[in-house]
Amino acid sequence: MKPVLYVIQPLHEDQVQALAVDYPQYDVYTAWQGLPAERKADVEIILGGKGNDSDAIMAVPNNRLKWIQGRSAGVDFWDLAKLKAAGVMLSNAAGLHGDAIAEHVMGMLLLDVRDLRQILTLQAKHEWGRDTVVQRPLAGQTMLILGVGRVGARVGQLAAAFKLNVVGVDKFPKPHDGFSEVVPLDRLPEILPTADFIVNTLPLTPETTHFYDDAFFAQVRPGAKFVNVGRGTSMDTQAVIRALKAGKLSNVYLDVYETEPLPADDPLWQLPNVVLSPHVAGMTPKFKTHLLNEIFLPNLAQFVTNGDLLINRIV
Amino acid sequence: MTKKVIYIIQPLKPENVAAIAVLAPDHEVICAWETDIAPERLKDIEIIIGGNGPFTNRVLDTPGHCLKWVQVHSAGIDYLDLPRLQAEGILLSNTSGLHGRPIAEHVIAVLLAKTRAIRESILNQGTKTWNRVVDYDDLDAKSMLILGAGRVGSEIAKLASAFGIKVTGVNLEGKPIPYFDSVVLMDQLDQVLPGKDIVVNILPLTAATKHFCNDDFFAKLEPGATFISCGRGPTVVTADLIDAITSGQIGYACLDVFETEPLPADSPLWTLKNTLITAHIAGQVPHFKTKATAIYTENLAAFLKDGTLARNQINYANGF
Repeated sequence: MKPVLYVIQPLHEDQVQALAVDYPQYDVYTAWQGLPAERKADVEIILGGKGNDSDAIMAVPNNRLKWIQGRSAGVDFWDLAKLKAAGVMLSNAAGLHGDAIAEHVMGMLLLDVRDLRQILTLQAKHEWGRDTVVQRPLAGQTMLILGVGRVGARVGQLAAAFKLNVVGVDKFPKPHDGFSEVVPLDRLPEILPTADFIVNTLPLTPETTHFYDDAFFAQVRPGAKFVNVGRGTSMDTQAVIRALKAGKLSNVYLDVYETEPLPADDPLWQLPNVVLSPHVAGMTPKFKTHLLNEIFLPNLAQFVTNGDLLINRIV
Repeated sequence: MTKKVIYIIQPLKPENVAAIAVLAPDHEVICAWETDIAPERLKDIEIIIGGNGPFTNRVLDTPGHCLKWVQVHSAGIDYLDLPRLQAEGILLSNTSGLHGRPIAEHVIAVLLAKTRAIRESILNQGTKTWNRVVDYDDLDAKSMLILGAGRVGSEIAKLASAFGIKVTGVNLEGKPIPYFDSVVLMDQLDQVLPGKDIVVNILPLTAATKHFCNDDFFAKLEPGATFISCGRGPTVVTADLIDAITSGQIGYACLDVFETEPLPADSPLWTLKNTLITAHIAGQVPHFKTKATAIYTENLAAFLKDGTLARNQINYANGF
């Protein structure tokens, strides 16, 4: 039987058909139409999905899985060691989300300095309330970005357009457009108290798990703002809540959480100085097209030629 | 001989007043918030800083008045008796340009509030709802038209272009302005308006711009376009605006100025779908008094030297 290209990431119908036409050596199945149980063993390539999807394939005896193309920059959804041991390649979608996440971060910052929540409250009450809206310019404030990869770099570049002073912290610091400096981790204690806005774009690794803990927030400037568009588990949520209640943090803007979806009974929902978005910072209408054109199709062409990958190979 | 008076009406800080006074040792500086000016001194007022229509007319009505120059504290001048000031040859200047950066941040803020589904997130947060099925969009590669392209428009274009937005300006001069991809004359509006994703109205209020944004105007928009109004309320016909929003011709309306301000609680605008109301706050400038004083002192120095103004002088023919 022909090997299967299993598409879990939602695509447009014409995009799926193009795959089937251009790669007749594969049978193309989509998760939304369904993968018959008897074809699981033939899945050679998975586009999208998470660990449980590939686990289900890898659990089948004599499966043919060779390559997983993720749809996110994050790869914490998979057991990388397990993939390596099984000889399964993994590539991610790093590089696609930077513009959207940068726009989302600026949206959060502007919500903060333009007092958007008060504006929405007044509108709901049909109240003019002009004197109750408190606004400040972004210019001259300091933004600290932790993790200056493609996402962090784009966030900083956009922030600089607003005359924010942008500083980065990274394991492997390099100069970046718009950043006044990018420093190694050992300078974090020196830089952290100068930050008005602290933005997390770190990937989730054992080192970054609960990185944002009580010890971290003890060093921030009182009244600082924390923005998380990286991974929820990088923050100790209870420590964030403690920092808010103690006035160490004045406002918190979260797009990621330790548990997603965030359960309805989670205390975060009710905190007054927290704005929650449901892990949408990276969403862009052009995502499917970008994922295919910039990452998956180039990788697929290479893969069928010599079994290797061109871009973003992680395992 | 009694000194001529510089009469400051809009409150300033003591250091701002001192900066003005030190330039004009031969004038008496009177601050309206400290001293009620005696009627017999009205004829001595040569310069008004701040001001309003009725008071300016009162001075002009005073026999033997010596008023030469009115420097208002706002960008708008539509509240003054312009024909009268022009007829009497009074110099007029404003503080246009100070508001550029705050207005630019406002424009980007209200755009991102929609494209990043921030309004929805806040509403959903109120009901503890995790909903990822929201409309999101990119600002990158969007097209923007700025009606009344000048200093404020340039600040908007500067920020917009950082997001990859293409910006076209329309004004009475049609000459290039920094950060705009193109600037055309008002009478070419019909050529550049169709197809624009975002239209920003920052027109000043003049005889020519009153009720400019009406049914005909809205009919030419790209269906579903975003309309941001930050200039003066009366440049828009409110009833026509409501029709355009209700029909979906305007997909997202961000209104900061209105024909009546404060906007009455019973105005239908408050509850229109896809409409964000802000209370004429887009142009709030921190440290405004000190920034405005920089304009006042620059103009005062020029005026005392040779009777001219250095910046922000109003052209009566244009009305701005």
